[in-house]
Amino acid sequence: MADISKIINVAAANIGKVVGVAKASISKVAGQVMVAAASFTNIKALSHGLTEVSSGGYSTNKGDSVVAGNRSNAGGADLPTSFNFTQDTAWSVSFWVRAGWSSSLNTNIHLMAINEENNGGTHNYFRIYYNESNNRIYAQYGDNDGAHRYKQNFWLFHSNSGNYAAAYAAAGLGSSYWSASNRGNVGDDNFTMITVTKGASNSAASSNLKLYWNAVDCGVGFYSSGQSSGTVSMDANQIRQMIVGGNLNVGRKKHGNSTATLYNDFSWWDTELDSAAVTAIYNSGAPMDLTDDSGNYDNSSDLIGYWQWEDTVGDGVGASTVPGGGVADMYINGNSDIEEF
Amino acid sequence: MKYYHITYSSWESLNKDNITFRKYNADKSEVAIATTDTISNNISSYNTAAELAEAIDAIEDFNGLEEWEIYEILYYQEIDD
Repeated sequence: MADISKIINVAAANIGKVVGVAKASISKVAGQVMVAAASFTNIKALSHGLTEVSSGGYSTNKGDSVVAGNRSNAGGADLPTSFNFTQDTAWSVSFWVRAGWSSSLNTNIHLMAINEENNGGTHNYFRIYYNESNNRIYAQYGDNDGAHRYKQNFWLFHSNSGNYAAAYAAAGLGSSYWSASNRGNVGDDNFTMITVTKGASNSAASSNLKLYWNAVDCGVGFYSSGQSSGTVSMDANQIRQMIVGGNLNVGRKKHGNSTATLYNDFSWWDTELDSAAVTAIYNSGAPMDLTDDSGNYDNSSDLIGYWQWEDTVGDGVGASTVPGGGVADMYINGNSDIEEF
Repeated sequence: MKYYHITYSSWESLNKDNITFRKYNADKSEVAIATTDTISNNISSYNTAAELAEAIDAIEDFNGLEEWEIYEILYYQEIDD
């Protein structure tokens, strides 16, 4: 069948079937509502080595990472107050990551963290990290009032039984750990979409704190009711700072990237995305434009942070910010860079 | 709680019921642990989690250990592999 270039003035009711015609070959259908495909050209990502300081011990050096917020050694504007989440508010975080670490790294891969601006460690924070030593992803929030108070859950990926079977199937890592040589189930360009959603309850139970690997809910975490230490009381008046590829305010000496670890399209909503929305934004493995609703994704108005890293800013060391403005740029630290692929 | 740096062979012989933290070094020849048991067959023993973390962090083969990990990334025998 030859390609159809145009169909004009044909009522939808009179079109019974169009078979064997690629969408790309149809340039126009007049009088019909066309829904744009939920994808866009997306060719850049952020690469980084693992966080590194000159020697062991704690440091305020951000290592190889990207940071948003007015950090003492990062520059940049404050994150807006919309990021001042607490244990009683809902939020969702999603990003794409292409594992570059080696299979014997034996440490933690800090995927993202957000905490109190210009303060260290576990003050009014949320973080997601992959504990490569035990093949688990942790999601944890909490505060520090002289003692670390937190709620957390974790999902492990190599046990295909009981509650753990869902995460095992979602990740597709088999019996090996997540690494550059075993990326499990991936979307385009070997990226995995990691999404954590939290409901408005102060709970790390899987009914309230969920992990999605690509579009798939990882199910019940290790702790059926979450794990708690102390009573979490986060400050809604504290401005926050955020880091991707690093842990809170602490740089640490790490080893083991066999290839660059890449991140792409980091996003934050002030609501709990439902599973249908997560499936929609996974978009069969191709990052989509999150500023427009599409299909079951109806949360574009809830998007409060969106860093696509499509453009550099400043002296070639910055990263692009959210469409519509009003949210801080992310700044690139250490050996991180924008990478085309 | 007690904190130890032990060999893998010592680890294998332990009753795991009272272990709350475990981290291997890169080739699994040595192990850092926290337990309520007393282990006499150890490479080193420490009074606090901070002391264990500082000592293990200085051994490159362990690829780093921070004190908070000892409290928060807990060992569970049923998912140990």
